[in-house]
Amino acid sequence: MRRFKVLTLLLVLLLILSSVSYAKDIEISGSLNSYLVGNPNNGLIEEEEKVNLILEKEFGFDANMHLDLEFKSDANSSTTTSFNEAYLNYYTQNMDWRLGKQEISWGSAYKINPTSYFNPNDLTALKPLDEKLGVKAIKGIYYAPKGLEITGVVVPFFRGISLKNNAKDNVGDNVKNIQSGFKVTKRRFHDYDISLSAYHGRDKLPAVDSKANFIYPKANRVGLDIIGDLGDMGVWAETTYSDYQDEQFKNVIETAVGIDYKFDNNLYLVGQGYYKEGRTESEPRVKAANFYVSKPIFDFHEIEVTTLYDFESETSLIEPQFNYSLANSVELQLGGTYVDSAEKDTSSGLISALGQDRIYTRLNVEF
Amino acid sequence: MRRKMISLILMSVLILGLIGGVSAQDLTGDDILDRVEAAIDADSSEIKLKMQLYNEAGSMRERELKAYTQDGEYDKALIRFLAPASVEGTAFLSHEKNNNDEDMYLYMPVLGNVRRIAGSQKNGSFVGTDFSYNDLSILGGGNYKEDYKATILESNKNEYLLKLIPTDKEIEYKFVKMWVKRSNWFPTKLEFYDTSGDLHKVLINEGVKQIAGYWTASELTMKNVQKGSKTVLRLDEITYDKPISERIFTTRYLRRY
Repeated sequence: MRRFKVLTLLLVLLLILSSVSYAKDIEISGSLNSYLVGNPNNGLIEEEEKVNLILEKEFGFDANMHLDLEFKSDANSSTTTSFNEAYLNYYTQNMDWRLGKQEISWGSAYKINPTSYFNPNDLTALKPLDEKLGVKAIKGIYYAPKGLEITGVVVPFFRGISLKNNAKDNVGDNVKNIQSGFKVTKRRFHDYDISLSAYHGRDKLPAVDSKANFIYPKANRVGLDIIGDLGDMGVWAETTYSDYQDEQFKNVIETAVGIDYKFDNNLYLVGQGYYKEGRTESEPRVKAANFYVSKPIFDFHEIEVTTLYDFESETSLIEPQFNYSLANSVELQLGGTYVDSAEKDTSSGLISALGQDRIYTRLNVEF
Repeated sequence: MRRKMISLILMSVLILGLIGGVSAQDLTGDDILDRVEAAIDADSSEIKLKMQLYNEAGSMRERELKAYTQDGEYDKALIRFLAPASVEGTAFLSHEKNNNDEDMYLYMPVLGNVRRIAGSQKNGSFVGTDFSYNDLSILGGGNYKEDYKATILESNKNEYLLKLIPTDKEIEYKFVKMWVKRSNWFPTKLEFYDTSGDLHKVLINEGVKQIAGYWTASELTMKNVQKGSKTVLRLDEITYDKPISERIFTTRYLRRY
């Protein structure tokens, strides 16, 4: 019944929007995702449906608008509606502005990006590394001659990775919690793109302080990001140094270094090392190796395998997935996640955040 | 070799050029390659095309592309997917200098950023089609003299049959047979033979007509005879030698969709 109401609502909305779009040149696109996730340890199966409606409107050649309206219903019979992104682009002679709720993607590493300062990962998603939560921000990119780009970002309202049990984050919406950052990128510098960045704000990942409270530590960060070619092979290195204002936290380095290569038979390989120091004595250090392999089969389908091994906790994750293309823009994904750990408690750390033992299917329709 | 990553697909429909008044009797294979290559001299192009990909079971997927090319100190190309929805907005940008110094960038709307990609991305097939990047190079005229040595196998009053032997070790074929029309120096058919000497792929150019003074194939069909799949490229719109803003070939424009 719940789902019927959601679908009815969507249908009505689509009809209204279709007529509006016809009249006002609003372009409508979007996606529908339906998940089934089974836990082999307890036998439970969970379901989730998600619909994203994307509305775009051009205002001449100088501006456009983008709205990503998300409807989500989960296994707890709750339905939520939110704007994942809602922003206005404004273009001037040498500068692009983006104002509103948006994702700001910085960093060249494979999915784990130390210099991605602003958007928290969505840990409720099936693949948390693939999905980030939008933040309200003002972003400006200045395009200077000779491949130089200067980006500035201001985020007035903090948004971190959700605390367990929906605990309050105690980060007030006031001026002292405004986050800001800038990045200078030089493209095509001896076959490499190089970015230097700086950030002032808070960690997206909460930490436990000396009073056993979850807090988002204040930090100043500087980052370096390099990507280029070594022969035909892609190589990158992305690193940050975080300087914490609160003395109970240690200043830390976070680094990702990787390579990728595509073979003549369309086999694609990614190898990446990731290192992050713990911010407190109790927070574990992460030293991980990440591999990704994908290969098309029967032309339209694909098999991919992701593996991750954390040397510190001796925990490994393997995640094979088969992507079956049913038609243009209609795909059925079948996959599974297996986590193996030397420690009994795997509830903390990088790998636990990425998934537990499970098998899953996902139907993805894009329109 | 492998010059013009994406521009090549565009150039593939650009094979053109009647160079009249040449005595055909004394031509060598390399001379004929010169005629074909010399005819591919549009300074810029703007092309919209459809791709139909068929697998061995006969299932079909479609893609729609828009592409721009510009020759100059750097050969520049930008190609953007218009459909289907799953890849809409995805775009490649290529800047190439001196035939082997190439910078390539990829923009994917779902990731929201522009990422530099390495040369190995040109290994394998071109965006899931039956064309490899090297196939596109040979279609586009590429650098024939640098990549191939040609000999004439047969000739008649209508066409030449050439045998092209790669001189670049990165080209994955043992040899290529190319049928070239005498009337306009337009290749009508190519056969690609694998390293064992077995026929691997066949390309047919059809619907050849003059557009803005250039001979152009409006439909190209590449069949992989070993696998049973095929890709059909259909040209919807094309404009040659129209000035294209330099801003199109920038990472800024990649994002702007």
